[in-house]
Amino acid sequence: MSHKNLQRLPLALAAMVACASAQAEYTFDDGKLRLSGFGTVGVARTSTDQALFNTPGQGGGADRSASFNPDTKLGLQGSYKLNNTLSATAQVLTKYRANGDYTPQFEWAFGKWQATPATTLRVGRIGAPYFMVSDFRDVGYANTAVRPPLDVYGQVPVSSVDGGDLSHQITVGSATLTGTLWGGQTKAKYASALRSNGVAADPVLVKIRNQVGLNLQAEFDGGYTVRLGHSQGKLTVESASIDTLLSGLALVGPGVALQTGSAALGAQAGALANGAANAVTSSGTKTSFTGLGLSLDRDNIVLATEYTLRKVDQGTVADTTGWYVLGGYRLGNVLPYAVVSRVKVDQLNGSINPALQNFSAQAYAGAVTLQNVGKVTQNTLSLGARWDFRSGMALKAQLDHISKPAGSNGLFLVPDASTAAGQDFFNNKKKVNVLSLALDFVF
Amino acid sequence: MKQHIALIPAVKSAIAIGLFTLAHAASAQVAVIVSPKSPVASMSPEQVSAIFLGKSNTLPSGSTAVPVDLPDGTPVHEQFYSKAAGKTGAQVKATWARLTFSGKGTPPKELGSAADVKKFVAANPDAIGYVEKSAVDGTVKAVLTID
Repeated sequence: MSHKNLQRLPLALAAMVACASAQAEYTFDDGKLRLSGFGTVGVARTSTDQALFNTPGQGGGADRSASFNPDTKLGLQGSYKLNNTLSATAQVLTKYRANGDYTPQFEWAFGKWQATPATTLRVGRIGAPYFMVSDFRDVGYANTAVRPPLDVYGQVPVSSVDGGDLSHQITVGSATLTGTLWGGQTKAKYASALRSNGVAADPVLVKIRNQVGLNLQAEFDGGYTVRLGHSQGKLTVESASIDTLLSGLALVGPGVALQTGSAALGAQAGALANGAANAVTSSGTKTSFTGLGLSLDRDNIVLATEYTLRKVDQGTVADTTGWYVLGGYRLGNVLPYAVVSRVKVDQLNGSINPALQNFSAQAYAGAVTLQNVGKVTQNTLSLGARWDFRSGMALKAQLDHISKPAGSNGLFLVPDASTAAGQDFFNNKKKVNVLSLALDFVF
Repeated sequence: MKQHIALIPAVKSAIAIGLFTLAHAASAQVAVIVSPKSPVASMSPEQVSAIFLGKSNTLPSGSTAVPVDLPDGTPVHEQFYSKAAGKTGAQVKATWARLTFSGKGTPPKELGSAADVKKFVAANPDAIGYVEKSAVDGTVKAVLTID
């Protein structure tokens, strides 16, 4: 898309915020249709030009030059109540996406049946509840920090699922317990590079099929919430460059056999190429995600923590552990906060034997580059403050100090891993500071 | 000397009156109201705040509550939420943003004035609202008073 298109949403939002008096959401006279919305005008810049900072998956981001792209977004939501038990809700979210522009997409479109006051069934496109704040992860106003900690929330690139959920709530003493069974399938585009050897690279397509998950949540008097969630599904990752690499790897064995006239050497090369292909391919691969979260919002104290585990049987997407601890203290309308977070690769799914280089240096390099995309280990210290300066609006400033070890891209988007800058960034330990300003609003 | 001593009680009562007036101005009493036709006789601050913060949608009578709010930023709104729920207007707004944008609920209908709230509550047996206690009259029934 054109450069002009990239600029449009932030400017339109800024104009809207400047003119609008955070009007309360709009309800039509019959009380059945309700329109509401949320948005963020956010700007970020970093201390490096070697890699881009973004919400993982976006086809661009911030470097030393400031960018609106990581955080700016606009959501519009409409709810129509047919009667006391049936309603329909749709949400359109516009944000900077994998193809490098601000595309509106239906984030939700579901029908809801309130079967009993305690039991709810939703069918259609719903928010995918992997995390404690999954449903409103894009609603800056509803969150303490500028964005949910990426070291945890960056592990799953999809945010909605086509399927449904069944939820039941019970009250035990002063505690409210909610169990939610959900399932469905989902797909999302994810940019892991902008160019590959100088050629424009398309985003990969991430699909998760046959997902089933169970979430248990307990809310206690005094503002404590505990949440445990687990889900499983089948992951497929597709792109034109992965296909090219796989067909190249498939030719290594037969090529060597033909060239050397030795079936044994061909078989040896074929086995090495096959191992490399397995290490970087996810096609209907079993995957699971588990999260434990605790939060507290009491008097002036805000605390939240999540511990999450991602497991994938095969392919570039590695097994990871992600966690964060957030603490804040309200001083009137100002809420200073600090967040410590980390994402660590526990295990790569398969190894690529360097002996493959002896048969095809190119195929080996391609497989290694693809596997390196999955090396996301990094940790972050964030300090910030939220200022609720008027009804329905909050202004936030945040400084992130991100450290990533040698042999990792962290969660940064390296535009082209084959360049000297891309290789230097991957091969060395780096510390990157990110400064973000955000204006969040709801209406 | 005698005159001086006589002054002390007068000063004391003047101070007391002054303090009382200040306290009164800073925190007028808020009454939670329902329709006189509602079977609900009284409610606890926990029951009321659960309804106004989206944790519950049922009245003690078992019927589905229809809460009505006063505008954010008005003194009675601030007083109601700080005393009944221990939350500021901004916290209440953020709580409803979470519920609205997770598809779990919609915030109470907002009306412009105490007169509008009384009129709405009087006409709807499942309605629940709040107004300054001095505004309560025969058209509505107070089920909780918050100091």
